[in-house]
Amino acid sequence: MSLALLAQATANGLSLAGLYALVSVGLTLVFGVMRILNFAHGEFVMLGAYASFWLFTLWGLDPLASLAVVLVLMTGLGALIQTTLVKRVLAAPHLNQILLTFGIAVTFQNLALLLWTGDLRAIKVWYSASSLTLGPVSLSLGRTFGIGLAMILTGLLYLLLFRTEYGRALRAVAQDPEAALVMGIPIQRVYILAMAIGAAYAGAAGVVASVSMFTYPLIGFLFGLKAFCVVILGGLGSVFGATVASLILGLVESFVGTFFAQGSSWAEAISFVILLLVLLLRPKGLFGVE
Amino acid sequence: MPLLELEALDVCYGDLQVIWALSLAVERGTIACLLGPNGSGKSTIMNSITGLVRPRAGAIRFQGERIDRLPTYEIIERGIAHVLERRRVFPFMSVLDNLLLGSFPPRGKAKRSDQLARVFALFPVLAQRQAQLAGTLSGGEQQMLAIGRGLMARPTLLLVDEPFLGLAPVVIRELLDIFARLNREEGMTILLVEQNVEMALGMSHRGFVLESGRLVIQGPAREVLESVELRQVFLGRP
Amino acid sequence: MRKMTMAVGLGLLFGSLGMVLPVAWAAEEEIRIGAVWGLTGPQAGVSQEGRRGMEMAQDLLNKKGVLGRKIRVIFEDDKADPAVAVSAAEKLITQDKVVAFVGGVGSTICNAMLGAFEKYTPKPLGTLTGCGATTIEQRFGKERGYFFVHPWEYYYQTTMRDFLLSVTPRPQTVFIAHEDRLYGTSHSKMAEEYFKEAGFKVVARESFKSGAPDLTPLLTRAKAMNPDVFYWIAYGADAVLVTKQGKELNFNPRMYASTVQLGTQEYRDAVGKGNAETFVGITVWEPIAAFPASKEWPEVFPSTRDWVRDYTTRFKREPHYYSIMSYVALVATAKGIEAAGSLERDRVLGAMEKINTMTPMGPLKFSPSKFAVNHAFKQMMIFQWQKGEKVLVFPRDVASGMLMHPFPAWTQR
Ligand SMILES: Nc1ncnc2c1ncn2[C@@H]1O[C@H](COP(=O)(O)OP(=O)(O)OP(=O)(O)O)[C@@H](O)[C@H]1O
Ligand SMILES: [Mg+2]
Repeated sequence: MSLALLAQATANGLSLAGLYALVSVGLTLVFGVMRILNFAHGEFVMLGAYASFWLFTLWGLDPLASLAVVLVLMTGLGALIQTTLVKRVLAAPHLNQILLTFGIAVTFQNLALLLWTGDLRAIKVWYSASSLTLGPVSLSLGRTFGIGLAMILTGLLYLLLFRTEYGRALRAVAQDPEAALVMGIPIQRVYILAMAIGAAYAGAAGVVASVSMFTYPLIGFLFGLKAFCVVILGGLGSVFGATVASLILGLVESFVGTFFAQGSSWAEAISFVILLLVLLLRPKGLFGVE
Repeated sequence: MPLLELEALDVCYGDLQVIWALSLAVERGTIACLLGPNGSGKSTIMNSITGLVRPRAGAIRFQGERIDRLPTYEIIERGIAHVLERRRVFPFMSVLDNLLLGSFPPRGKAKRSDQLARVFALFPVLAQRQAQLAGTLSGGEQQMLAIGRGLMARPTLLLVDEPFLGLAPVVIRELLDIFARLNREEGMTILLVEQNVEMALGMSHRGFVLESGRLVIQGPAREVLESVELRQVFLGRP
Repeated sequence: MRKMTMAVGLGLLFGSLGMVLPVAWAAEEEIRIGAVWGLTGPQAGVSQEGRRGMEMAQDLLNKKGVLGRKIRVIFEDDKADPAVAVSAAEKLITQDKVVAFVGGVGSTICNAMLGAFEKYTPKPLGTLTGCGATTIEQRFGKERGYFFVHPWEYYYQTTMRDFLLSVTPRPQTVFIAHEDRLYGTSHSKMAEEYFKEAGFKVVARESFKSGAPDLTPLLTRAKAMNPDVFYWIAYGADAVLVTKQGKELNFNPRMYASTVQLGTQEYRDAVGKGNAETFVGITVWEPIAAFPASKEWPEVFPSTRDWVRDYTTRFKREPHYYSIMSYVALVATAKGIEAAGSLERDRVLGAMEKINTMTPMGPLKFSPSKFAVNHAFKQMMIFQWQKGEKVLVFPRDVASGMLMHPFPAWTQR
């Protein structure tokens, strides 16, 4: 195993981890705050990717610029879904919640299929598949953008959570919603905030995907599934756990795929094995609290 | 005009009615206690006041205004603090964060540092433990934190649900003293839920006794303490 | 209970009608051909392509007629469901009394239909476009009455092998990557076997999950082995990723090669013209193929160029290989009937076995394959993306351009 290969595998793993983190922090936040597993979370990635694709295709907006637009759009969508739909099932049995979010997912998938067909779409900007060469390591600009974005956005989320009033309120709601209520925290607004952040971050992951890979109507499933693994590994509701778990899974998948024959088809199974082992030893996940 | 007024309140959980046509009033500047056996509906009444449960019928007035349709955060903003049963501190947050959350409402935020100083003066132990996770505090410390957190919003009315549960006598005495001081020095109105009848009535001006969701006795604390009905309610005999 | 008897009674009634009616219809003069396609559902796209090809053939044949009669193709929709296909086929046999089956798409459908035909003696005639799986060849290939016109799976890999052998400078090492389900696994095994036989060194045959968002580990691994050819067998989304991420990693084998999935517009649009440049893929047929007109039957088998022109004029779209394959299948069947001079099964069959002519899809002659008695179109083609267009580069006699080789390094583009 050469050093160059090791460095390349690490770089690949980090960029994968960045993508995973962008998708999963929002999912875990929403769960932590509302105790809802949002099965439509992956669809936010898909919508973000299409938004970025169309902004680029119709108006020539560079993904770096459209990112801001996508963040705003997805924040709005998250808030809308929260206030019109999810809000209604917060007190309902889990099955109803699952059915609702699942329904939202299927609706978005079919809408996308109807509006944009099943074709693969990808953005071709000058940096989408070109790379920086650092000695033996090739780091694509698209992926570097992904890693950078993931770091910035997760950093901002930490700042929000640990340095602001609303962040503190959000953590409080996650720990004890009733106690948070009598602190005078407008809990519905906190829910909206959480869902909006979740949607926006997933949308940002979609922008990265539209540049460095592609999108199609069912791509949300791929990301949603991965995000669920990450979130469960990290501990349901733990943003820090999701960040760490993203790193673990991203790096493990990259290393297994690079250094073992047939590794690329085993990588995912190995992720699941890690997940199972961790759950056996720590049923609440790495950093879960319940 | 009483500070807090409950009028013909009916409260249900689903189809199960647990409070029946209950009316009571708490005067400004007094300490009142709400007594009753387990399951008689004390916590339910407290929770109705801060909007955690919504009454089916009746009215709740605070400072003369209806509050029973307001969202909880607006009720809190008007000056009611609610120290929930079993403390309910945020276990994975520091003592300081817990206290700061108490001053989330604008009325608390405006005077945050003064209020923090005041709470630390009342409970010096909290000042020492600021950075500690609330979940790792002792039961007594947690209760102090819960009360201190309630005070951070500078309430006019403090609702406290069973603050002495499971605490050592020394700590109970300390808390009793603090309630008395808050009432005396700041004119704070306190509505207290308690199981220990004598202790509660001993510290209160007025007592309310609940049985199966109905108010069965009310009056000045001393009279309630000496009433025959009280024995009936708690011991099931005259 | 009464409802039950009613239902049974009605069933019997209609059943007997079904027995009687065909006799009445059979008196008509037309020659009926059965065509079972997945006209709706997941196979709708390809099926409609096939249907268009057959309609075009039917209209052309009917200008002169066959044995003085008209050909009537009866289309049935199987919705890509094998059970539906079987009942549709049985209806075509018992009610419509079709002379032969032509067309179809999907190996599971084909397998189910041919399975259902086992109980008939003699078995229906078929010129079959939808059967490409080698399992079908092994199970049903011995039947003389089945004329298979879709290349068997292994022809993809023999074509790729022959192509690689024709390349100068001849590549020495091949890295084979494949998606890890049935399609990728079985094809990659064949490829490895054929490549090794031909003297290539297969440095690795590695699997990956189709649809995964990241192929960089695999590509990094392949890059470290520095193969002459990176050959992958997977689906469209994977092709997009290989292209993008191969570029990102600055992975520069002398050749990037894949199979049919590389040939779609969707792929080209998703990676961008420049990035697909010089990638090669396998194809059954392309409209740019340069086959001449048939000497025997130029009116139904014109040159590829003329046929594509007629098709495009009529349908306002480019033909798909299923369009031409089903066109050729129907015409071949009709020509067999014509040469036989009757609708009698064995005579038609014998006449079809004697066909030897050029078609716009290539030379048509049924001959034995590994397990089958009658199979046509064994040679597939290799295309290369050049300036955003597909150019046929192999076999040489139909090539529409020169192979660009080796692949220019990503940084030199
Ligand atoms: N969320 C709820 N759902 C259904 N029933 C409830 C709920 N909360 C309380 N109850 C019922 O309402 C009645 C009153 O409960 P409440 O908690 O108000 O009594 P309490 O007087 O505070 O009792 P304790 O002294 O044990 O705290 C009880 O019968 C209880 O079972
Ligand atoms: Mg109680």
